[in-house]
Amino acid sequence: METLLSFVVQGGVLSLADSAINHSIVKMKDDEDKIMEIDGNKLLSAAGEAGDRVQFTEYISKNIKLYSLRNGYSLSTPASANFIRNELATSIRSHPYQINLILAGYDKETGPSLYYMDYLGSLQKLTFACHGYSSYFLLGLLDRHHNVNLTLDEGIALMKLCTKELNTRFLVSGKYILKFVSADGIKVIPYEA
Amino acid sequence: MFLTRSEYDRGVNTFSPEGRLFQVEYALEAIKLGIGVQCEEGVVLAVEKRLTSPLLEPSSIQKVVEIDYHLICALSGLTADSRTIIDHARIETQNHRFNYDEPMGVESCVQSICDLALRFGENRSSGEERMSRPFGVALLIAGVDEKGPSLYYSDPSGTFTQFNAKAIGAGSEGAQTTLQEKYSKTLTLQECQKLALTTLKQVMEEAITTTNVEIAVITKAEGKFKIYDKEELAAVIATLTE
Amino acid sequence: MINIDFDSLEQPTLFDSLASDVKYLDKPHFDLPPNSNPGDFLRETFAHPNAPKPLEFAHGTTTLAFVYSGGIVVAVDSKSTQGPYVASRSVKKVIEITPTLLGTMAGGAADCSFWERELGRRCRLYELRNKELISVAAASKILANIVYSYKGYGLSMGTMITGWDKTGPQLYYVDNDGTRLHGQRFSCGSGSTYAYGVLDSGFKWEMNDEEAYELGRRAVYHATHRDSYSGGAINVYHVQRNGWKKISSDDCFELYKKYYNIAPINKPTN
Repeated sequence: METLLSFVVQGGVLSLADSAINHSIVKMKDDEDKIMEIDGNKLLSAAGEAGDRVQFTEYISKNIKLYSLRNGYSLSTPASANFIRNELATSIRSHPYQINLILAGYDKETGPSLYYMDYLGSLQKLTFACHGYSSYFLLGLLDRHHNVNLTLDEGIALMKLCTKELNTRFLVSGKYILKFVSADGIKVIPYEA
Repeated sequence: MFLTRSEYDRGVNTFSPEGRLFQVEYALEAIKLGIGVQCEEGVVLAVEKRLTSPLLEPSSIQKVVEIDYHLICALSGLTADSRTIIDHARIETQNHRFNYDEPMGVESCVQSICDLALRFGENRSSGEERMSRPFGVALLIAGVDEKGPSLYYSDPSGTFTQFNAKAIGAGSEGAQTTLQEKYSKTLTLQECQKLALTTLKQVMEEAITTTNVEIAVITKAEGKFKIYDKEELAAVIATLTE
Repeated sequence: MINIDFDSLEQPTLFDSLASDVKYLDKPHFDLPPNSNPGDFLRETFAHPNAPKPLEFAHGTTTLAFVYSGGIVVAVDSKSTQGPYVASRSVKKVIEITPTLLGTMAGGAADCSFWERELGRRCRLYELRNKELISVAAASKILANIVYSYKGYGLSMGTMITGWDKTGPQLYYVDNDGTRLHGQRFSCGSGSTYAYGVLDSGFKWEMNDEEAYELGRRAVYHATHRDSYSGGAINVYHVQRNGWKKISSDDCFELYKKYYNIAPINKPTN
């Protein structure tokens, strides 16, 4: 019952994730950050099997860091997306990581970009993306209201619209964490659903 | 001593016609001075630290190291080699606690160190590690267990012996004679400490200071070791001039 | 989730052969049964129509730990059950990992005590090698990485790792699917939901030590009352700046009498 949601706005990408850790019927934690910050200009949101999320995203971020140390420059967002997809695809037959991901990033040359990945190893460049049961509520809403020329404030307003819909119609409700990646780097936006 | 070494000093697998292993004897030469004295109450280790340059940071040289709460070790010789030995001993003592839920015996620990030291000359094709030469360190291992305090000496050949008082390294012959003359089984820990330090002082080229010696004691009463800090060292050194 | 150990097939590298001790340390030393996937093997074996009854772990437990202004309180029950059978009413479910670290036991008792002992060994070696105590974050990460590497092999553990390090009192939750959470209040085991109810409602950041012990004790007590798989004595520990201290051990029936002021039943007179 996890929610990941990201979309492109003017000059950057907004990423939202729920912050709950649930075990069967117990909410173990309500302030978990599921959006990993990589390299200062990428946001990797992940949701799925307990344990896999932290292990996989840490493995990815450490390898992307290692790449920049070895080569003196950072991996671009599309290159990172392909690297991550490849890691998922090579492990699917032996030790699958059961996690779905959204990679959001900002590159100086190409601007903001957003990549949707699932645990099977599929990869798609999109302008908005959503994982989990909440996508049944949000995709229609985003088809209707999203466009890439939204300003940051309009983008945040759209996020509010999305979480408001989740709180009215979705079985689970809880707290969320919102982050924004742009030319100025990563910013955590205080967010009350 | 080395007049007849000829070609027998290369390998560790061949005895000389006199029945000696030269590589092992060379390793024994690489040793600096250290003294250990044991009594009913506990054991004292005193080691000389050679400060080769005034710019050298004395605290970066450590010659007495902890193996476990109840086991300490004074090293002399090639410190780099000792790191392998000490780490091995630490793993052995911790494995012992894991498996038996009790501290490792002093002799068992010394035995396991010597098992490692003896592995030079082994020539396994794969799997086990290969050592090209013996470890160039001698160790004084002090500890307490249910048998009380004890002091062991191990050398690069992998031999170990228990002592009441032992001097190792350069100039140790003289020091050992002094220890022999002055040691008695009825010494107190305080007296042991003084004996170790006076003996060390006799052999050392430089004057004894708080930076060029290291003292550690391990007591039966506490079952734990203690390495002296600067103030405690100064206090002990002050008693020598009395 | 199958992590098969192919180590024995690989030619040892120079590094491996030079440092067999280190190699032994880096991998949890734990022999595996001779099947390609022990998890599948167990499932298939016990799914068979005339198979023996499946293995049952001692799942029934209530354990909790919380951080407050005075440190951390850890409170646990001490009942061990195998199905309807009460195997013991005096289990030590607080595991003393090192003089400064505590762990709790829920799930498989053997898994918890084995791996938390292994954790103790590694923490002590860390201390000897680095001349400083390990942080709670690092210690809990070691455990999480170990259990993650055995994911799918049937380990059963739910544990809180607590201690007081350079950054203050710390509490982590680690379980057998590799989850590792940092938090203020955690409870684990079949009685955890009952304990959470008392703990969450009674919790304040500012408490004196006695209030905190009583909150922990009471939360576990109420769990033992409702959860038949929890019971026995209730043990309370306090994690302080210089290490942990055992506070109390009370039989939950005695607590029942105390909390509800039950008068002894008079014997019928003939």
